Amino acid sequence: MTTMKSASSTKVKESTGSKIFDLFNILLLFFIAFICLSPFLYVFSASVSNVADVNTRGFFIYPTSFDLSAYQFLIKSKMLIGSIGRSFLITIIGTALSLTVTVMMAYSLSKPDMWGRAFINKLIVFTMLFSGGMIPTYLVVSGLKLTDTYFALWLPGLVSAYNMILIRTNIMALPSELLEAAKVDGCNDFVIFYKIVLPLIKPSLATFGLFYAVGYWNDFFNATIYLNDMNMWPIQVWLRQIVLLSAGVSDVTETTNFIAPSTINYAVIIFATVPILCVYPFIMRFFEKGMMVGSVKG
Amino acid sequence: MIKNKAKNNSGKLSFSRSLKKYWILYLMMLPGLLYFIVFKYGSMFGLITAFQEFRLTKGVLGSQFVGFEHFAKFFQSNKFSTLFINTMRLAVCNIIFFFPLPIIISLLINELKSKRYKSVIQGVIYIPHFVSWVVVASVVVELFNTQDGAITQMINKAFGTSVNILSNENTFVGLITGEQMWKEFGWGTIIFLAALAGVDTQLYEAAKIDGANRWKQTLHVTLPAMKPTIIIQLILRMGNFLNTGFEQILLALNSSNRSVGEVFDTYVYQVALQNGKISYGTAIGMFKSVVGLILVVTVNKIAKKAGEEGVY
Repeated sequence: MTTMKSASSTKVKESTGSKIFDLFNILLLFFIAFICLSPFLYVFSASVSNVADVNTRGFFIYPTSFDLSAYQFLIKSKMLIGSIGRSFLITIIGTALSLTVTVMMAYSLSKPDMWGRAFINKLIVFTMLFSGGMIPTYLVVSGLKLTDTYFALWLPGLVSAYNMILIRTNIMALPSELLEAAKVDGCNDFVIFYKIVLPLIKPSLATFGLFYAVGYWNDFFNATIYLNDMNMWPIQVWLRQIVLLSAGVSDVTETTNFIAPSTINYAVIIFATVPILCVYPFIMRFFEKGMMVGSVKG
Repeated sequence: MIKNKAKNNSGKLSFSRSLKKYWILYLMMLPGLLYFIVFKYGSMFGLITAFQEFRLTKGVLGSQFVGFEHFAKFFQSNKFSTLFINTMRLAVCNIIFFFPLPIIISLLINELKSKRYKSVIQGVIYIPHFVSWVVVASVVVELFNTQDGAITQMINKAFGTSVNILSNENTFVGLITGEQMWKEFGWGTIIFLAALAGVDTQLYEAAKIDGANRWKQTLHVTLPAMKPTIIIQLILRMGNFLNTGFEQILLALNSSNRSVGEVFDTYVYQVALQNGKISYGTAIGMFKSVVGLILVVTVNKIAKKAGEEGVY
């Protein structure tokens, strides 16, 4: 950003070396971006190709045949289509819960003169440095009888201390005159929070909402250890089951009798990826603002 | 940040006055506070199972205490050194091959002149970060499995033979590092690009007047501006070296690469949740957490001494 400005403001004649570098740089970054995208292009193309193409063409980034049988199979399979629905449910409710609790906590810890604030802050920061770890958390979750409920996916990671602190920093940077004016008008803290603070921190809500949503959508481990009932499994667990465990590259401890046609793998990967990527472009405009909050922490 | 905001209210309120003024806020923080107490501190309390012979029927409070028996057993077993070496190998590869990548890419992005092209590139290279490890592992299987992997097919055609990188002791570290590079290098540029956005344009002007070409400008203006961020990121990475991506490794492990791929977290999972040795697993997990705490605190002190803002 900065170099660009300076380059255009002083129109000195550019050396040929500099021009060659620019061209090379544009091409190199194009290639790098292509490396990021090509696996998606391949998986999508393979998912809409016929089996013979997939077996003979090797790596390709556009389809030359058109065959939707993988998607037809997927939509007919109650287990798979149901798991996608459940992933949506887990993600939407989980994100709403996490964001609500996180933002309420961030706002309530934004008053410097509040009694107990420093202590609670320390309590929270310590959890970023030290944790009981996987097994004690598992004991807490099973002790609370949350196994085989979706609360086992929502509650153990309900609030990210890091997100909470960043949102709090954002709230504390709001102009205090605004909040005080509302107080003079007789608004209580909750009304101020709802009517004034929330609209002002939309970029961070969008950003951290996306982070939570990505976490819930992508989680497979909590679902693996807490959900024994395969009728409750989200798409990520099924993806692992179908592609990784049946392919024999990952240790099989939980086996199921699921035999899939070969291009179904690609269709399931698409379903496990696309929904969360669809949210991304809408949030991207908030995203750079929201991330900036992180860079000026403290 | 606390001090300059507090100018209106001198000092902290007493408990009763604070409760009267902020009771709504105390109510609002309650769900979050309960979460931290039950799940975070509750699980820390659960660490006492590391000193017990845990029985599900007796629970955390009723199980028999055995002191440091599990820790002693772990350190005496040859597993400890295997896990440590495996973790070190992955951490060193991460620092050598992954760590410089976002720095180099952000330098290249910073040299782009078209603002639009720049944001397109950024938008694209962030995408892999949002994909789950299950998806990454699945795509890798579809590309590289020995039966019909897309890239294996092409290598077979070109060379007549191919290497099985999925179930192979020798390629495991490369596989993990490669996956990390693909998934996270773009996301990693954010912090460096933020540092670059803060560089004073006048520095570039001055360098130009002094006759510095773009390479010299990068060397003498851009890189020094990035240096603090690079150092703090490097220190942080070292403080976290025990945290090798658990989900990623779990998904890549199989009986052929387990000997080089097993790390603390995956071993804890196997021992405690798959073989049922809850206490032994907890002890290993606790060892990892304690070492992690010591590392992060030490590293934070070093960072602060070096004049950098700490992590907490």
